[in-house]
Amino acid sequence: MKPILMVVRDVQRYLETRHLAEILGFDTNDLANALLRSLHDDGVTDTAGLMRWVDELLGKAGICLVLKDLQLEFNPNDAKEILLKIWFSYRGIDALPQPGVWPNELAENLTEIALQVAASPAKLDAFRLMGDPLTALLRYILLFYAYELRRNGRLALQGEDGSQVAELLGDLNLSELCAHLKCDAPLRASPYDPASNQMIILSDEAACASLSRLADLAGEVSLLSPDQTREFSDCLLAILRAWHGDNQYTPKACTVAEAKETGFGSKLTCYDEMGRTIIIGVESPLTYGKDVLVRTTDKGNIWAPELQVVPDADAWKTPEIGSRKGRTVKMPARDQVFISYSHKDFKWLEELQTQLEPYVRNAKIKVWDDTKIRAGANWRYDITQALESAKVAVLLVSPNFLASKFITDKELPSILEAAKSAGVTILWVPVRSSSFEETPIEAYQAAHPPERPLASMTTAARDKAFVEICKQIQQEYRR
Amino acid sequence: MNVATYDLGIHLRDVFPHLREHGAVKIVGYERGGKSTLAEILVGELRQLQTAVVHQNATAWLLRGSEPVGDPSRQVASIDPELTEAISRLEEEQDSCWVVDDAEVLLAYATDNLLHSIGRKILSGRFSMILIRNRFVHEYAGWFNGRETALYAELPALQLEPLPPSTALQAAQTYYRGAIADVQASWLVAMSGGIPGLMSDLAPFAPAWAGALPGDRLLARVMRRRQDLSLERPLRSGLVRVLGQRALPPRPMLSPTAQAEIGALEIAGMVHPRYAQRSEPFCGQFWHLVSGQVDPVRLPENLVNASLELEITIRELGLGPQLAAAVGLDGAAEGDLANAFACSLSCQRSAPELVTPLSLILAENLGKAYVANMLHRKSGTADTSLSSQDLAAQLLIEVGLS
Repeated sequence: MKPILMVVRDVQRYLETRHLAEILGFDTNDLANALLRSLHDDGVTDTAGLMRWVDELLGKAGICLVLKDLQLEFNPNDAKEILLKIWFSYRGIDALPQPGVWPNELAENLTEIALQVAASPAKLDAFRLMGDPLTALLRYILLFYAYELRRNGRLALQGEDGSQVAELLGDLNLSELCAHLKCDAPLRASPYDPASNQMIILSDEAACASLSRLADLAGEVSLLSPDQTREFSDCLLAILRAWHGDNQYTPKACTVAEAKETGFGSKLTCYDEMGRTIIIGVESPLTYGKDVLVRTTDKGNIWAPELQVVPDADAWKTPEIGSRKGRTVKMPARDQVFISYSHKDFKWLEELQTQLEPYVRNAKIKVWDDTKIRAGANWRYDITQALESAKVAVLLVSPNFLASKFITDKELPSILEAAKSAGVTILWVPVRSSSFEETPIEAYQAAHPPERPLASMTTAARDKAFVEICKQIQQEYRR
Repeated sequence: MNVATYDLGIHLRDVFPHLREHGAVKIVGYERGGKSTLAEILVGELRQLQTAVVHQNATAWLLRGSEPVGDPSRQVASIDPELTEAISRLEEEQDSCWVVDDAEVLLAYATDNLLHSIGRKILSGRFSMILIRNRFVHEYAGWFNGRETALYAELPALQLEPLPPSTALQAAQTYYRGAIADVQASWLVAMSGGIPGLMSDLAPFAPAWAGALPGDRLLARVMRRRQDLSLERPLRSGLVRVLGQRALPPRPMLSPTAQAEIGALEIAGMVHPRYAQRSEPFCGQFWHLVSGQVDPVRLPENLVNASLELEITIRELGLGPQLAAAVGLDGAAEGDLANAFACSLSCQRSAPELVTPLSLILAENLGKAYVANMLHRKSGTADTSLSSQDLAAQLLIEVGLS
């Protein structure tokens, strides 16, 4: 059994033995699958996400009880992170590589040291003790958090009121701090990088802007629309041109094959048309002033200089999605009805499936929903593929639907983008009363009057409404 | 007479079992708590047992000759040479012990390699070590704790406490002569809380007659201490006020910033580390003067009753001990958790910057599953699409703790 499933089984046993599953709204007849669906709904894709999911559900007391059930040795006074590590490690899941210390910890350390020094000023010296963590904090900010800094304008750190240093950190202005400490030059000349063997420094302003945009796009790379893919490719081209110092440089198309979460963000794997691999560490595009510092991956082969790319300007004009080694995959035809729903509304999906069945049987329409995800498949990839094949998207709208992080963050934006760029028809079905007016859904056609959600109707009236909804779906499908 | 003549509560017989089993022990105290005196006593007792002793403190490392400590430019870049020399001397002997007073200085300045090296030597029995140090701002986490862990992963600890009342009275009586000597000695014990160094500091300020108000010199000292501790800073003054009111929840329920602040006040010997479990949070009347004399408050009855209801619900689910341990109330009696909840809510209303919201504490420790369960028990419904903290907030509203 896969390690993640073993963790889910542990959670299942915990909930079952304590009779907590039903209260949480899980299907107690098939709790394991209900928990997996919950993972899916919450967009859990990596170990850190799984840890957050478990933590939210069980809390520290629950985690301790699971460890007790598993007869593992632990100290209940330890931090939750340590307890989770014991559990996950027992189940064969290693924690993600992380920096030895996070910036907020460094900021807390600085506050702590400041207070400790203040308690014994004759024995401890702030200048000596705080220099190293302060420098390390700056380096971490530059290396790992420049992206957040750029996005948010500042990095929120704890420690206000603790001391002058804590106040300074709490209201961090990076350039001022660097100027104050006179440490910007050495940092730029010799960035801190314990793992890599190669460092690339881009000073070109356009390349910096491209890298920023690339980083923005990379967050959802597995769900990129054709337009976004094109933009992604353009960004790559600009960076490669800057890297080669040749504005006319035109390599062949190079699109993303895999986006992998690392301890710091996404790592992208691309293949060129010769089947060569390029790994791009867009997880840490580090900006500082006009410079961008890019940390290499552990393979050290980001934009490796020895990579020979064959110029082919046309390739950039028609980038394909999902290129694979040495081959490309054509854009699939749009011939499916894609149903988007929250797993908490599964019964409504079943009802719609039942009503659509005659159309499907007569081969009048093809319907896809995520119950068709293949066992063991990369579900995110399957959903992406299904979205690319969608001609009509049907949304079962309810408070659960609007509250689902995966739907609102991933699925819905892709559907709306497909509606704009590829003419996909959106039909939405008001299942229960919801605040749909506060969402972009409002602009699209409802397949049923929103003021009379299906849940508020009698069974007979609802059946009749479903018949009308199915007719509309078929009409849009045939159009 | 010197207070060192009296029992500081830790003896070689308390230290030996740890040295035998682990090779090292730490003794944790606070400012003016008698640490250096204890170090000297232990060194003397060890030498009587023919043990070779190297005794070092901050003065040995930081004061090179007669140079001042405060000037960073004149301080040594590393204290490693002094430490290495001490290790050489220890390793020349069969049975040797390193008594390190001001051990926080060693932990702060020694290089990582040397700390690891010392730890390995202790484990291999080359010498034993007694570290005597101030409390840390964060005793069980943070930078200083990390340094100590680098030296020795699970160093056994002994806590240096204030002198017990009878011993403190005996010590105090040595300062006074005359008709009201007993009154003055009792005053000194009450004022100092039995902290040896503070007794010595305050002894000259005892009232000249029974019932006299604090004199100007004492009040000047109070003001100076108040300034030294920066008690006028908003967060710290708020913290001290609520402490004086006996309405501050246990340390793990405070905000991270307030936790660090209270740690600093513990180092100063002002606040007792287990303040939440004691009727008197300060270590002596002197600190009441320093804090500005705040009267205890009575928490509203409805808050107390609602808190009790919440505690009962948590205990019925069998989660009482876990939650009590998580909020620093190990072995708490019934009602202790409720008191902590009530204090937390009261603080949340009057000084929210001091506490971590109770809803977050419940969510993080009990998890969504149990919080939803409790809410369901109370209200018959729980919207599980909400986060654990939102559910906990609803639960608090449901039991009347909003």
